[in-house]
Amino acid sequence: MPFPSGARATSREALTGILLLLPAASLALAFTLFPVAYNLWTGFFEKHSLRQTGFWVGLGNYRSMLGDSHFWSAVGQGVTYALGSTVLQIVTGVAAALVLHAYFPGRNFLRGLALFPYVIPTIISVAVWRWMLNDIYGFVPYVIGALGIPGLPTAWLTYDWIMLVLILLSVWIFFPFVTVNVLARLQTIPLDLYDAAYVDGAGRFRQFVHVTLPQIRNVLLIVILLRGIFMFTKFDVPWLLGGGAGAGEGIRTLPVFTYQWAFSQYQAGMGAALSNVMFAMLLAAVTIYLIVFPSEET
Amino acid sequence: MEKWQRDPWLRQLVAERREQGVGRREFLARLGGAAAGVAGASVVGRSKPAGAQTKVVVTTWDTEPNPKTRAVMKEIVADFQKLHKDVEVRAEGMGWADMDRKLLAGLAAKTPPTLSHSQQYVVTTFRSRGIIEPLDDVAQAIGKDRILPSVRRWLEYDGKIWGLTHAWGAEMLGGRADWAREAGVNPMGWKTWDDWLRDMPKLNKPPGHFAFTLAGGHAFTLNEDVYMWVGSNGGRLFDDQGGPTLETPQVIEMLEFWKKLKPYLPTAWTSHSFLETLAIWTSGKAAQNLIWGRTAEYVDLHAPPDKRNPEVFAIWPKTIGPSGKAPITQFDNEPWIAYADVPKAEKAAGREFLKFFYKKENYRKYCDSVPLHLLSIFAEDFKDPSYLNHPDRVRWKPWLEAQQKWVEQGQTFPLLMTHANDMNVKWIGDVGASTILADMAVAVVERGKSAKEAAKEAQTRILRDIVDKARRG
Repeated sequence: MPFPSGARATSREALTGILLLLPAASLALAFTLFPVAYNLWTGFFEKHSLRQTGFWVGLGNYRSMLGDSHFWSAVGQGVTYALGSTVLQIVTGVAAALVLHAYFPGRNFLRGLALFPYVIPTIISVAVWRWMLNDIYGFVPYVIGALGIPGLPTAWLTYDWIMLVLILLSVWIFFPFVTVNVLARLQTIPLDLYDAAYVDGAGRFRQFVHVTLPQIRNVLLIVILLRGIFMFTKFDVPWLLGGGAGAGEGIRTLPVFTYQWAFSQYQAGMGAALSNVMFAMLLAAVTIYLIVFPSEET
Repeated sequence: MEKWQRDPWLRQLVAERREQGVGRREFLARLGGAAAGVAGASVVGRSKPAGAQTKVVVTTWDTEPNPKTRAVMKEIVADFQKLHKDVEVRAEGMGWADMDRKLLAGLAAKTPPTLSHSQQYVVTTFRSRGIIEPLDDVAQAIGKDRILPSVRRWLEYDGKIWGLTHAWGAEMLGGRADWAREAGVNPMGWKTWDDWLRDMPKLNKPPGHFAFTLAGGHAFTLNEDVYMWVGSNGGRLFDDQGGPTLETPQVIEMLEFWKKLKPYLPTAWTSHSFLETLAIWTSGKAAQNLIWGRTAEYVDLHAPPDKRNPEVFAIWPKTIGPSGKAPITQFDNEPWIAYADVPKAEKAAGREFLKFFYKKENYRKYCDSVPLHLLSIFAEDFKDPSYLNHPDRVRWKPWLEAQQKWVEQGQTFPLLMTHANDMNVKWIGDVGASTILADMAVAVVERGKSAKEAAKEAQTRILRDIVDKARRG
């Protein structure tokens, strides 16, 4: 049997390649691109979730959203939450990684323990925090009241304080993500670098600034990016903590606001438009971030 | 009836086309899509082996997850299946929040349950959207005239029965009679909000206990208070055309009154769930609470043994606002509803199951699973010693009688309704599911916004975000 000529063989290989790629490409198309495209399309309609049909309103949903003070409030609360919790997660996570990188008895046990908040189901974490902060039965208000610490409220789950609670709770749940990533990188930094810095007269602080930080820079940039995205789109923690109303109005972030439009008020068109805006905001923020902080080759 | 009219999906599509909610092009495209779907389904259907007949599956979703009620439902289902070997009933109990999500997903996927519990305003909304079907045949079979008039009045739309209440309960104001005596307060003399507010300081002893507690952690429970107090102030949330009426004096006065209640509420009341308020009241951290019959279980759970009785945990009168003539109370009158978009055989089996559910021996077991809250819908039961002499109904007789009185007076109103016409407001369900009314109350009570301003904002939001959209189709 003669071998196929070079050109025929190449085209047959290409065809085989395309056929092999087809299942994966179809899946990506069906489960990623189509929902995104459909969501973009739905955002141009006024559509009630319980109706089969909707009608074209063009940019009507977007115009209406921009003129709604509750939308801007949700944006403000979402940004406050994302920024506040991400910054504190990074600070806490890096500090914990540095501690867990040092040698001390029980270090391995503590490394395991540090992961706990991250592996506990979110609903449990939120329920426990709600219980600890309950103004009638809670442990925290009781201790604050008993010690008479000035300036601290005795009721935390109120409109005025619930954002702070949400940020602290989220830091507690998610800082281990930062710790694990940074710790992994810390363990690969050559000790020679510290020796050299020491010989040059650098103390602990200057070693951290001039050796550790540059070495973990790329990991930190990725972790900040991921945590920022995760926190801006975080739905479960603010929803479980505040329920979207009452004191929860103080933590009605953009994902919660979007959910309420789509699944409580049954306005699928507006819900889609809001999630498109959220996507656009993230895309813009990520682009600016990557331009300002390009990753460096190590 | 035309052949296409038997198909609920097509019926809804045609109805929406007639309402001009859908253009000609989209209508035809959807019709084409449906035809392709039917063709595809028939090809898939043909691939089933011959004789692979399976049981008819009836799915019911109810909102009584209480273990005792679940056990009774299981018994009823088992007995029904013994009589109907070709039917399998999957009865699932869940909380209201879960039900909402599941229903929305089920309706979107065109796989609703056969039957489910619902709220009155959901019946209104679903009926107007062609999602449910009337239950006249079941009502006829169980004896329509046996149903309490106060229950029945909320089930009938245009002469047809669109839902059947599984059991009812009326909200009450529960109060600590022992503390009232100690403080020299006579709650039975309260008639107006001013009377009530006058005695609040005497019952308020923080940090020991607060005078009152409210469930402000969810829009649902905040909505309950909004409409109940507006109704007790002679007001309404909707006019006869369904437009919101939040800028009326009755609503403004209600908000001002609520603001005056704040000093007597726990500081973080806006984060408390309904169940938390039950624990707060029954464990002695608040003197009063808005309660239902099932709260008796919490009294037994949290109160000291010597106080677990209606002489201590008493029922006090609800009061009226400055513009009100008679107080109203919330009616837990949740009906079973039957979904249109289910196969014919499933529909028929579901209706048979409902008839079986309401048979005396089954229904009595069901009501007795929560004797003070799952109250019978049949008038004759309230004259029947075998019903009234249930140990819990005897023990908590004042609680039972208070609920009966509300129903006899016809002052029980389902959520968001303060007038009979409100049951025709098509978008009432959307208002109930939104946070607009809750936001209005919290803005005034917690954030110091003026009542007029908050009411105006809520009025605008309901008009812009719900009513105008609904009117456009």
